[in-house]
Amino acid sequence: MNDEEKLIQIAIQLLSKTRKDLVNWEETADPTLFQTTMEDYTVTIDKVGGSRFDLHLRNQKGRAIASVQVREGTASTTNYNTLSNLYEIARRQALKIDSALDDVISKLSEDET
Amino acid sequence: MLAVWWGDLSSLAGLVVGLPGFIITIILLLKSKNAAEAAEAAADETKRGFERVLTLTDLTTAVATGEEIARLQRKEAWSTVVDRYTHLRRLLIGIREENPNIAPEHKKAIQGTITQVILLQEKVEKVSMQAEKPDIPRLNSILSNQMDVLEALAASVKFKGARI
Repeated sequence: MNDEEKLIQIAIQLLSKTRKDLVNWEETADPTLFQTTMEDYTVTIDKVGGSRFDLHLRNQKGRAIASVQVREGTASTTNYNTLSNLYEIARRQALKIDSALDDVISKLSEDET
Repeated sequence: MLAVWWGDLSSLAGLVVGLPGFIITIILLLKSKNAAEAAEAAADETKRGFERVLTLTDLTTAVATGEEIARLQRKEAWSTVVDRYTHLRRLLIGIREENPNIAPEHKKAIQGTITQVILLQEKVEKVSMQAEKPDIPRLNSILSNQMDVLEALAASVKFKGARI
């Protein structure tokens, strides 16, 4: 398994753990880049332009040590879908979109009663 | 017969006389071992306490550096900001390297902050090269969140004597 295949494997596992709320994603200085941290490493996912996703593994000094990029139409559909889904779920979790929407719906429902 | 009886009596007397001395020797040995261990434990505790003070000082300096960066970002002093980010990053890496037995949750917190700081620095470098327009409130908001993480870490070292 080469680095790219291993990173896709990491993305698949992160996707599954994020869906179960076992992984915490954070916003960063870049509005299209999100990070999740383990004890010794950080994984970042970035949307570049409209159709490219970059996944980086960063070391203890924060430097990217392994990367994979997928672009719509050029990467395998499975890999593209994996990173695209991971980006979307990471973004939603980091920005707390679901709880914000639920809050607004709840407040609006209260106002009606 | 008398010689045998006398010999046994001598042995018994020897034992009676020698036993308390032996017991005292054992007690003294145990005491000195305990004292040595206690001294070693005290030395270890002093060392740990000293390391905690150093770590606390570094964490406090890191938070102060973060606050200084926020002020410099508001003034758009980008070239100075880049240097201060380098300083902050080195401080954090130092804290981590000087505390190899850091608790997992603290390790994770510092790792997250180091990455956030390097991403902030990359962003500011682009701004200083005029490759991007700065979003100062965003930069300061992300920085402020990280300083909160470091302050919480400093508080747990200071008040709980947490292992870091």
